[in-house]
Amino acid sequence: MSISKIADTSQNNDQLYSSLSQNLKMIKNTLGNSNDLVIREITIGKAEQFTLAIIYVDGLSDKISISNAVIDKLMLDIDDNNDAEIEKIIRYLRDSCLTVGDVNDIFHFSALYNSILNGNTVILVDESSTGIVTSTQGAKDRAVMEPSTESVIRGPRESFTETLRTNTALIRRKIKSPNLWIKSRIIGEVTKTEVAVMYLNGIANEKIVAEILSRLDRINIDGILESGYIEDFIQDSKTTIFPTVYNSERPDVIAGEILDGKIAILVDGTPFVLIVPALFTSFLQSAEDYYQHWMISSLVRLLRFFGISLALVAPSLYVAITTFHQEMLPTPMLISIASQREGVPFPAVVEALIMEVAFEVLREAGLRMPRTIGPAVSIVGTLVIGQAAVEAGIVSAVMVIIVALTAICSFLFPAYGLSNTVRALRFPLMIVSAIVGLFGLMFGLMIIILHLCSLRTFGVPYLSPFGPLILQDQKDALVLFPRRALLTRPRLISQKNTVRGQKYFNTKKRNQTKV
Amino acid sequence: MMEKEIISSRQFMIITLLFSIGTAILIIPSTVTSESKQDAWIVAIIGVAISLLLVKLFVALGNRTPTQTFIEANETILGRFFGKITALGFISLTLLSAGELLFFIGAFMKTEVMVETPTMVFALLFGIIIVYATYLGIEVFARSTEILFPIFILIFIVFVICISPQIHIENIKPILEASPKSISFSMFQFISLFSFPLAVLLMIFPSAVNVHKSAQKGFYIGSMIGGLILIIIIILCILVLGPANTAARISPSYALAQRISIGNFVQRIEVIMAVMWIISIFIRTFMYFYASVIGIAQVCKIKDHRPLIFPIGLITIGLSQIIHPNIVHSYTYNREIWPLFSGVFTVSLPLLLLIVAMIRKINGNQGNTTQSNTSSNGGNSSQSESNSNDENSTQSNNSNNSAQSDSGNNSNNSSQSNSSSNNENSAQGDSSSNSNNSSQSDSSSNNENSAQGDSSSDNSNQSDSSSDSNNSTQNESDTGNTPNSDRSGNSSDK
Amino acid sequence: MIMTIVILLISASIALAIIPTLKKNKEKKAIVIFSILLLIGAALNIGVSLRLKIPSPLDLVTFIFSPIRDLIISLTK
Repeated sequence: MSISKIADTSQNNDQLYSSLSQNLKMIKNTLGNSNDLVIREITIGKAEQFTLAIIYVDGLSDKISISNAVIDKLMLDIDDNNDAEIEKIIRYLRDSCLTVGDVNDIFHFSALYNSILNGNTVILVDESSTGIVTSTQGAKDRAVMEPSTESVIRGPRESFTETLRTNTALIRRKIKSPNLWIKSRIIGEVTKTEVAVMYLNGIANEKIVAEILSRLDRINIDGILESGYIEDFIQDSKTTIFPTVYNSERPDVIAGEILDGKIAILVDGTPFVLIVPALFTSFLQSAEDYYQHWMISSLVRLLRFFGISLALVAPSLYVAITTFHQEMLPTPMLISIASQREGVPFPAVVEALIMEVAFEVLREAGLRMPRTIGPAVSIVGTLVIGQAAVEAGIVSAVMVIIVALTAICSFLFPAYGLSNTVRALRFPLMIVSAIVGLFGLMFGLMIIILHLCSLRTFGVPYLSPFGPLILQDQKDALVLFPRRALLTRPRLISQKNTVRGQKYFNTKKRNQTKV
Repeated sequence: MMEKEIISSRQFMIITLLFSIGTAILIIPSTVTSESKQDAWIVAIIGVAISLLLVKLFVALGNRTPTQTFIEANETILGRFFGKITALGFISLTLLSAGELLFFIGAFMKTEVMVETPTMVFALLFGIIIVYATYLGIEVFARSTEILFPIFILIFIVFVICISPQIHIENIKPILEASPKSISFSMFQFISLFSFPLAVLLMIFPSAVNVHKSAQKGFYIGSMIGGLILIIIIILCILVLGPANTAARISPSYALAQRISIGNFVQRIEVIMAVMWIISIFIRTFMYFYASVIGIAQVCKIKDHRPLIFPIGLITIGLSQIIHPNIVHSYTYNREIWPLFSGVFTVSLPLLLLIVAMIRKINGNQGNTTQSNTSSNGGNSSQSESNSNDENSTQSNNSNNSAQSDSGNNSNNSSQSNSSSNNENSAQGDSSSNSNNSSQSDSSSNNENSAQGDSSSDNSNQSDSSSDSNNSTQNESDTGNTPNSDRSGNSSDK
Repeated sequence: MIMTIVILLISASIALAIIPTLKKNKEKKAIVIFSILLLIGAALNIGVSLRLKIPSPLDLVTFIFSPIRDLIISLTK
């Protein structure tokens, strides 16, 4: 966290004392004498007349830089100013002595606590109620590794980490434009998590940025542990099961969205970065689409869309057709299904519900299973339960096939958020189609379509470019056109600046030199 | 709080198209063929042509009161007392028709598809969809029609292709055998089912559509294409089933779908074809219901129509069960009484309103009395506002001209001058087919508007729906918008 | 009988959901119209569920228009 931000968060009623010992006593009391708080008292000056205390928290700070840049400089390289006053000493220390990158003054206890709890070092001087804070963050963080949830065949293999600064750096490495701006906020009364909003000035819609910042400011909560918390607060107030905020672990995905004019929200402590506004089509697309040939990508996208529709309606179709509309199946198939279902004591809908619930249980359990037991349980799950259930006559073989098909299709989505929604929506659809057949299925789908049409995310209709039909954006919605046709950005997202590659500096047209 | 909801002209065209098809796609072949036998297609063609005249009447009336719905126009033109009476008559028409359509869905489904389910279930489920759609508003409905429309067209094309192998061309001969009397009688029936209901669209026609000119065009084109689809269906019914068979059934199109058989494998898929009809019936039922709700709210001068949706929905669902005791009663009613009943309120009433409006010089816009023949001017001024984007893009004045010549359109005028919330948006909308127009002439305001439309007017209220109209306007009107990017894409020196 | 109770419950819940907000906005006319319509709707549906023989409004329309219809038929014969 930048030092200046810390100074902003101080209140007015807890000023530092002048006496060093009083300050130190206060600090130790407030932190409860936690033993990772390190307080080093040194004396400087020829006659050793100035007493300083160096305060930091072990584990959050970089001890090497403290030792080299702070203590070293204070103790060894300081000039001998014999009769200088305290204030001049402080200014001297701050401006000429410390060789750390970022220094600032603080006057309040709250600023002090914020600083040291972020890994910075505070220097207090006896007889002065001004402290100096230096930036020495250096907690251990995870290395940049492969993404665990979104892997691609072709494309970069970096993923975000839990440290905000690393994440912003990863994005900056992809977009080296000076227009990539970061605005940050501190959210959470207790956790004081830093949240950063990144966008391309001139392309992203400033009103949306302003709206996001104002919604962030309105959050009043104890702690933010993950970006999911922010997601809840940022969304438009309409209650819906569909995700309106996209998240990803990969810098190239986020950078691509930022280039489109969307806005990224990074939260310290989680590698999942949010993208706002997220439309329905964002969830159908994967980063890899852009790295491969456009024809392949178009086919794959159509396949994905088809697969998801199948995942949503396949069990309902089965239930509806076998219960109400048997005439739609070709006769040989009808006979074989009928013979399979003969020994099953339940109606089709109960069978479908049993299998689907069983599969959901298996899936959730599989997430938490220790790796050693995993394979054994999957064998148990598939072979034993599936096969045995069929042979015991509880379900029919067709049902097992449909459930397996549904499950695999629901993994077609690159984005996890929407596949959860589809999983959840399957069940009401199944029940409705069990009551009224295909008419019920149509009823359910109509309600879903109407609901989707009524959603907006930050003012943009959720189903663009299908809802309000924008022909120009169809080139990247369901199918993908060749790169040379992708000349414009999505129109409703980046309204001012829709041509890619355009020189978009605000006032004059400056010629960028090609590097 | 009732915000003004705006739909784009393309959406209006789709709504008109699907609305005019409505239930006609199922029952018109039989009513028309019963009198004219195999010349029903001639009847259909003439009928569609005549219906265009009717559309012209509606458009002329709409031009007189561009920011008011039909019900409000009644009161404006005929005065408070008589206006309320005629409005109530119109509302009774729409409400009874909504109930009738729910009955029809129930009866149709029960008879043909799922025999054991009581009709109340179908009526209830369909009623829930309609109530939900009305609750969400006409914008959402318009967006959903934009999604349903390609599905409809796709199924229709598949339908036509699949049934074509079974055409027996001799079924259509001898041509022109029917007498003029039977042709005129059938034509009257055709028009009553196809074009009389188009008056209901006057509830949204000028008032809820953002660009007046394109809306007019949308009205014409929508009904023409709807008529074309009906003509194709009628021809197919005659060619495949034969005139006698067609006339004998209540829903011959369904019988057509039942006959589809490809390679002995794809058979009896009529339920998928039924999706097509359910879509068109949904649009029509929604429009009737929406018209009734808005009508009642406006007659009683209630600002927000939303609380009324549920009781009226309840009434409609109950109505659907009592309105016809059986399908024969419905058939008789459609043949004999419906043309008269609807004719009174959808033809003579608009005609009366138009005449009285002409006499009283009501023109819908304060002071611009010179443009009384806006409808005929519509054709002229529209050429300055045609689809050739590049042309218009250079003539910012042109937009002003067309706006003024179409003075009946309040929103158009003020779009160029003032910047009240709606009108701003309609400024956007004004350029739905000439987005370049507005974007060139006042490109800064374009951006402003678009930025505005994206968020709310000033405050950061995207989460609330209070400025939904602003948002949607921008977005909806953007649909037809071929924006700056295209222009700059074409002229790369920009 | 059960359906009647269900219909009454639904009507009551609709009324409970909507009338307070209307009262807050002091829209008396809306409350009146809303209640009238709700009562008509509930009564109608209860009648349907009890299978009472309710005459169709279209019969009234037919009654009004039958002179015209007879006139036209006699003209075209």
